[in-house]
Amino acid sequence: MDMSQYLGVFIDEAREHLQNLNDKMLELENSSDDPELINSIFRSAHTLKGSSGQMGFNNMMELTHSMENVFDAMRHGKVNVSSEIVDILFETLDHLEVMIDQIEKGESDAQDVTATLKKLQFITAGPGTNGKDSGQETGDGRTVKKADQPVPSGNGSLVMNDYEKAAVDQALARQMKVFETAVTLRSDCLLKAARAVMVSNALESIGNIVKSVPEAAEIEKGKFDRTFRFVIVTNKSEEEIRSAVLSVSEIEHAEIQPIMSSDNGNNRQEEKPSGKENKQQKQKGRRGTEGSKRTVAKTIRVNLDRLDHLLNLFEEMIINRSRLEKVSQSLENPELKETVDTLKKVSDQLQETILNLRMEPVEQVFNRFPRMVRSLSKELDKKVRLEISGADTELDRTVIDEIGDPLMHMIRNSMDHGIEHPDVREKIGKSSEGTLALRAYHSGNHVFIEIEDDGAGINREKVLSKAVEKGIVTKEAANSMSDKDVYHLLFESGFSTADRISDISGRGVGLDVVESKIHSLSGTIELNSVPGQGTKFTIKLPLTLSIINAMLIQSGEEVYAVPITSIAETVLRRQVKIQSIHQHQVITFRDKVVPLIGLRDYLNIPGSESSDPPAGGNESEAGSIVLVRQGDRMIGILTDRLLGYQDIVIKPLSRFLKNVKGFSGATILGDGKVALILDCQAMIEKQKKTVPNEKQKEEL
Amino acid sequence: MASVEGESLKVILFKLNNEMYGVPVDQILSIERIQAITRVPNAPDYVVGIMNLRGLIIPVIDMRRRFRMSTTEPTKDTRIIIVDVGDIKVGLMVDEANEVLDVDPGSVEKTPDIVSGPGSEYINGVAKINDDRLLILLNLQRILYEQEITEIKKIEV
Repeated sequence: MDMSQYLGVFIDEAREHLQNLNDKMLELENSSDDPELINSIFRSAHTLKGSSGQMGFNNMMELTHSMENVFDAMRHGKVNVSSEIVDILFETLDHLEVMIDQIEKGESDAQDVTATLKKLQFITAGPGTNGKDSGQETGDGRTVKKADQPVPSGNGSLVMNDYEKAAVDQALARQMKVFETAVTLRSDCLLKAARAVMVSNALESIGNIVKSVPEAAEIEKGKFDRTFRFVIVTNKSEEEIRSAVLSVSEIEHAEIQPIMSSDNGNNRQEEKPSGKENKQQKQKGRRGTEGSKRTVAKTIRVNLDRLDHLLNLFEEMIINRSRLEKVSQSLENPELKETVDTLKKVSDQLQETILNLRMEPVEQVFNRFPRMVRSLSKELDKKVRLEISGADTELDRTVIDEIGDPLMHMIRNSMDHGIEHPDVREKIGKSSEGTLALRAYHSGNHVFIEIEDDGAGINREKVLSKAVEKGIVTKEAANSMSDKDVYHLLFESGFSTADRISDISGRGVGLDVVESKIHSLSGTIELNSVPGQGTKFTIKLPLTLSIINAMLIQSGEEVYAVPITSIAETVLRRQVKIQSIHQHQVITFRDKVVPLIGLRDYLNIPGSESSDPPAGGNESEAGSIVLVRQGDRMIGILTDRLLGYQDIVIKPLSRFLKNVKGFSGATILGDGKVALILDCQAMIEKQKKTVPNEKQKEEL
Repeated sequence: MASVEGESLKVILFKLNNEMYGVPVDQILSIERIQAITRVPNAPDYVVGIMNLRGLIIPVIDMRRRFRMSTTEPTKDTRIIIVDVGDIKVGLMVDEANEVLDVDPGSVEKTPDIVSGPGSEYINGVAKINDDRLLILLNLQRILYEQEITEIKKIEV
């Protein structure tokens, strides 16, 4: 069956179900007697089994089937939830996740899961019962399941799962026809399976089979009575389908009904009174409430590529809008000006809408942490409670994809280094269970993510002695460092204060990698700590990455863009006094010594007039200084002129230029020319290396 | 990329320091006139800068500098050949480019020893065309990607 066009839907849905299973199983461990919880888990597992079978991923189906049996046994109280069983189930979920990853990459779902399968089967078999009994029990479990669940059988009616509904809706939206085809074989038919497969092949040649009842695998084994049903998507007529079906011999009759909407299958079936129906309705009702809890709004799935394309087109528009604005300014035509203003307003709204399309709740990143914390606490023999808040905070998709690993690093770090062992905690009067809070929230144009633990906090002396030992700072410098600077040492590469090297963190890669990742997302990270009370990491991220507001600055003939998020302030050069310390220029700004970088020198900008003023001399008063900051470090960039703020679209520098440092990208200006975007973080880092701030302060 | 076998080879001819060079047509996106190019500080010297090609940011290479020839100011004949090799798109700034030519693969000789010298490793072969002119076929793959390796060693900003 060629289901490739539904593969995307299948993968998305499978991931959702896996996530649901993950979440619910964590809950289950704490409240194992909640029947609704088990039912919800069971349903997810069941749907997963169904759709994986449908797509022909038999390994996945087999694994989910075994897992489903375990849940089924739980539902009927045959198996009690225990930490060990939950472990095995999580192991199963891990396998499933790998399978889905493989499928997404276009590979098969092959995985060696025999060990896990055995464990799952062992649970359902039950250690206390002998082989014979267990066989009956499993058999029994499955019978119960069949009666209780809307499992479609050959004689039953069609119940489509969400995925199949989506497929039907999609087809209908594309003006294709959808038919339900019920085929009954003659009672004396000898080769049931073969005939059914022939019918299926005949239908495949004129359309796509979206659903088959019973499932394709069952049909192939001949596991049906005499009737089997297909839902087929095609652009052929009812008659053509009939003749295709009847071209196969030994068929008694074929019943073909058009399906007008994805609900059709269910509606029709509700008209038929049967004992089974009540239960199905109940099931549907439950599913309904579950759905409404999550989302009320109607949604469609859109390929990310399409969104990217939309954004690209919009970027083109922004560039042309800037160009138009420039033209309108020079022409001074009131009508033109008004139109351009309106265009600006509309496109601003459009920008917001488009960027919103790319936003996704940070939930999907946070989701994986409860499990991680669970297994880590076991491993570390610590008690940790994870509190998540603001999981619905939205972030650009690109950021979502990248932020997971850094967060994971930090959580590991907090659990390993921050939170103490239960006995230590009790001794110092803390509750034995440590708390790790993971929060996300919006503020202005930024999203903040905080990771806070109530552990031991950062030991200043320990950090310093380590830093001195590793040669990161000198002993003299160490004593005069502020707490903030000391904490920042943790982000230096190769720094680890763990007393022992554990498997969790302290592998040499850590916070420095985290910091550079956050920087690459144009974000910043701060660290606060109160000894004895805990540590808090605060990550600040921009809402979006592709369109930013920037200050355009000019030196000589060249124009550069400085992201507004980096700018602390701008001052005119004549407002401040430029001094020189050790051949390095500095200005004093609000009682702070700020190193100054002349853009002309920094970038070797050609031009007759050098912006490099002799210290203390009566240098030219022209020019402006842009003060950029990263964390609590600030530098001034000396430039000839400020050209004003503008929305710019960030375009990556070509891979051909990837070794060129100092720029975070390029942008196209209103006049069609290209301007480079200054990487202020890199400038500050570079400056930091040449002259340490503290030294300057002392010498002034 | 010595596509020596097969039918005739379609190449675009361009001039560099009075020598004829050729690049296979299928590697070429377009040929542009000289236009505003933004200098990229800290880039290798043969990178003229980056230009805006209908919304794409394209680095431009001065082929004279790339081959360590004497450099000249751009003239009205100067062209930028936009090539697409692998996933890198760049513009090659050349003295002149206007002809498309069918080259008989049989007339392509592997680089003769005489032309070995600076830049010879970027040459796929030499072809003789109609009036006994010599045409140098460039190996763009080499020119664009080898640079990635050497650049890492060279640039430390």
